[in-house]
Amino acid sequence: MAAEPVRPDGAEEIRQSLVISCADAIELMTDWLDELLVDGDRERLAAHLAGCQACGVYLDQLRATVTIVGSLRGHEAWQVDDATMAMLVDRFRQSQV
Amino acid sequence: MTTDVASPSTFDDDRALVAALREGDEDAFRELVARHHGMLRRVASIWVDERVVDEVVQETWTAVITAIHRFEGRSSIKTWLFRILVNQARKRGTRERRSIPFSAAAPRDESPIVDPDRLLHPELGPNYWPAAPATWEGDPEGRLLSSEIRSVLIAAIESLPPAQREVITLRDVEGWDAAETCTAMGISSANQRVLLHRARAAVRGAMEEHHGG
Repeated sequence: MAAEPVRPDGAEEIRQSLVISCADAIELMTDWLDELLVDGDRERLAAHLAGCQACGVYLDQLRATVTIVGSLRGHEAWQVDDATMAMLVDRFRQSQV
Repeated sequence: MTTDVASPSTFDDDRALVAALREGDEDAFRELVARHHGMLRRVASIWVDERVVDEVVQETWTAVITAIHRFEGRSSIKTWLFRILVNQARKRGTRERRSIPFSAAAPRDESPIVDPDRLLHPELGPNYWPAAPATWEGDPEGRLLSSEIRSVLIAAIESLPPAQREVITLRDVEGWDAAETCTAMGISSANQRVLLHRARAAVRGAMEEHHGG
């Protein structure tokens, strides 16, 4: 929820406009990113995100986390080295006779 | 037959690759190793000691060479390789006295994703952010991933419980989809989602800490 001041009698109104709590919104975000949310939950999260800047930031950070974790894949430290490749190809060749 | 310049591989789908492997085509084998060696090493490192990762992956390739004639194409090559690796790692894990639980039996963790103390709005009450999480400076998408951030990420992933680590490795490092991950690990989609959700939240938390949040 944004850090705007809330009128004394406005809390319930804001809770209703947000449809679900931030905690519930967070629970739906993994399926949201996978586009697996069923109708109802999808609309509830969309309505919450429309009014909640904080959850928007959290969701952006989850998305950024997925992207940067994915960048580990290409790191050369994990790739096969030439000597190992040569040894494995040799095993493959021997299995053919 | 296509002549896609951007894709130099002649083995675009599993079927063509497997057919070539059965013919003893060494280029096909090189392609198979180049594509999947990194994945096998990353997954092996979840289950066995770092000292024996390369050995376990080599044993996996030997098993693959022996078994390729029995591959029936009911699963994708990568999930098939994954399962052979897990069998090799499990054998080794027993020898190394490290237990490898079956993923489906992973303990359930019901604790909240975000610390409840952080979700406490002065007027709206519990379960609402009092303020947005601090935005990340620099290059949050990681296009210019520094070795420092890479270390933070690797440490965060390594500190996860093994089942979470396995799911985030397959989903987000390897880029597998949810269905492939469920098939490979033999878990339900609900279980996969919970494990992924927790793993991502933990890694996000480590990034936040790194950014001084």
